[in-house]
Amino acid sequence: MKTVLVCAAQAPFITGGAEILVSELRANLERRGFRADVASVPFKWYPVSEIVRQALAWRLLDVTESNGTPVDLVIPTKFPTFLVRHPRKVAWLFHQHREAYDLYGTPYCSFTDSAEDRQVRQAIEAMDSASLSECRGIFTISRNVAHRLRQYNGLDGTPLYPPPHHLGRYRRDEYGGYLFYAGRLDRLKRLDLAIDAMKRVRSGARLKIAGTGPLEPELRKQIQGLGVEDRVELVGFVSPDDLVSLYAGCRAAYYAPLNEDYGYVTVESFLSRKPVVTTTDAGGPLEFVSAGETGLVAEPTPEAIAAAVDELWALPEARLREMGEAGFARVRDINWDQVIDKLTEGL
Amino acid sequence: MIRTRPNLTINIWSPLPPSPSGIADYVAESLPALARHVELHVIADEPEAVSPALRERFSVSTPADAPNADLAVYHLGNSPPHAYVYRAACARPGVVVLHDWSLHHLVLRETVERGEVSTYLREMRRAHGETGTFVGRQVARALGGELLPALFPLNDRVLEGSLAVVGLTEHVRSRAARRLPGRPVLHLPHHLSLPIDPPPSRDDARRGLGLPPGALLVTAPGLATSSKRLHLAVRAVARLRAAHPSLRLVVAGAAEASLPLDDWVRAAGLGDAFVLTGRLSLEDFERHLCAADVVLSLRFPTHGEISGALVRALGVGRPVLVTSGTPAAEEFPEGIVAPIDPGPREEEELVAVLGRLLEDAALREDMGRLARHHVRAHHGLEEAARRLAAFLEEVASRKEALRREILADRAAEGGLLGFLMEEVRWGARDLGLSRVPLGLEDLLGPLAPGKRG
Repeated sequence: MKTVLVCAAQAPFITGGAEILVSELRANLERRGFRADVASVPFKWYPVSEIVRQALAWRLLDVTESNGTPVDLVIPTKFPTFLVRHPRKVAWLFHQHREAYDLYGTPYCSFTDSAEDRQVRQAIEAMDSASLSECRGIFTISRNVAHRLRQYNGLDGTPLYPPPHHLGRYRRDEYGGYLFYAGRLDRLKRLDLAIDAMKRVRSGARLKIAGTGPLEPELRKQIQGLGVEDRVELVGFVSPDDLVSLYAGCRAAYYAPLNEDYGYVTVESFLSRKPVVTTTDAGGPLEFVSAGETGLVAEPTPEAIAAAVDELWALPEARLREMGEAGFARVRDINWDQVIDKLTEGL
Repeated sequence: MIRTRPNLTINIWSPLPPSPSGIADYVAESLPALARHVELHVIADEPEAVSPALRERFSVSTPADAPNADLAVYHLGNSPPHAYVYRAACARPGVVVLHDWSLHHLVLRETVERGEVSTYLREMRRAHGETGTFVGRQVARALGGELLPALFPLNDRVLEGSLAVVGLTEHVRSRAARRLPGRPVLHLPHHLSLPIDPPPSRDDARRGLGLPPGALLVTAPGLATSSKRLHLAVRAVARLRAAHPSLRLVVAGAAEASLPLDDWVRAAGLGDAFVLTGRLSLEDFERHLCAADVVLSLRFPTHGEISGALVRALGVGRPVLVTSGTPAAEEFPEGIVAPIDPGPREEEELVAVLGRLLEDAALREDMGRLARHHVRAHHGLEEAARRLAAFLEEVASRKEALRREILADRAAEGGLLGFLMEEVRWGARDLGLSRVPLGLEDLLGPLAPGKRG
């Protein structure tokens, strides 16, 4: 039985999409007959001066064997796990440390223009380039992640889309009266933009937001401040059954993060045969959403998003169904077997 | 002339008199005794400024003209005259004599005051990790006060790059040994050097200085700085004058220009009972110690130094008050010095201890006798030179092995590989494992391809 070690960086007590993905990868490796385990090392990315030292912990580990059992393959996932040394390293890149790359210089970046922070940024870039070059193969969870890797590190990655968590359970019930978002409530998801847009819609559309996160109090305040309590609902954490039902009953999904790596919402919505409203700078979602075919793509302004929502609400159900089916066609082949086949190829 | 090994050649890197550094005096005093054991050569920043008497007796040259020698001995203190010594000690491994445990002010001057703030921050992170980065930002903006630089010694770079370390106190020795397990570390008690020996009696000294024979004198020797607790000494002496009208406070030395001594004296109503002598010759300095009834050698915060004036005061048999918790208090057996706690009741404690000593001449004599006996027995100049020479001999015999150890895990400064190695090495240093070879170059080299130093 071949052994596979999945390398995960985790902030203790925080579970998000990456952690779920790692656990599903492990489960599917085992389902396919591999002996799999997860090596998880805590990662602290702040203050900026801490990043390199925290990252280098991965370089100091010897994961070539464990208690006499050789490790046949390691699969690093996100920064800084790919710093790990192993003769057979195949990366499935969730994302790099984006603050050193595409988010550098934006309000979403904590790096300053000091000499120390610049040195950290250069070190991250150099470490990423060198350690990813050691890989036998580099797969990325989206074309967007592969594009960044080419742009900043000059390396090629092959997109390999991860299936969503509840694969096989998504369904369509009706095209209801609400837009739906599910995910972590943090700044990069730009839910503030959606709430602002909901103030401006004229169609009577409503927005349901499922999930929790650090931005929840701020969003709640924004909803009250704009007086859109009747249009926007924070439903909080929902069970898997409720999540599937909320997708099944929505008119469309809303998903407009800033340059997202991949974005499960798009795939989950399409598997529920629902169109998606997104923005021109959303990143990963744009690999699936084509304006007018599988959803609507607006400029990232409240006015443009509100107009797109109104446009969607004006469409007949037959047209929504058409978009949903087109979306479904784009994601129906995303499955775990092809992920495992690619990552373990030649093993 | 007896030499341990006549051909052991030593380059002594240190400022020499008339440099304002007290270490210059220390080294000048030790040179004749050390020269009886080794061949020595002095490296001074400005040889032409060195006192002619020393230049006549010893070979002195600039750093650029330093001759080849078996060993370099770097005398390091936390003050600007030692900047060239610090640079040399970091560049070429030698034996470091640490006169201060903290080199923070020196490094600060070499970096921030030259406009290189990021170099300073890097040094703080290298030495003290994330806390160092945080504190460094405060200190670089002149928000660190007096205490923070004293708590973050910034001496790791020079310690790690040294073949061996000499500490003038057990305080420094034990800390250096913990930082550098296995590396030669010597406790070399600060030598006693008296320009007038035997020292003059109290009466003779006062006569020579024009001080009143019947007065009670409390003397604070050396340059008056903000860390010498003189604001408290002024108030304590003023309060004790009610019981001892003849009591005077003598500052035997010059004062830092920024120190508001006059304001303190005026506020306390000390008036003519306060004397500031200005800079003194070494002979008059000793006379002032001999003329004193009690000597104050308080210091807080401390940078891990021990004062030559303190050793001299003990050597001439005077009772000395020191600050508890400092190397000066820890260096001597109980009863040799009287410690004063630098806490919120410092003034009250000073009044009480000083008052007790002023009331009891016999107690002062007993303390002084104990102090004189101890210092004469354990702080002899010739014995110190002999021990240092023997230590240097041992280090020289292991020099190549020690040098290899130092270089084994060291990458070129400035490059990416050096940066990555320092990020990992900090954790090892923090655990006292700075000398353990980590094999980092092989491990991290591939992350910095083509950038090995």
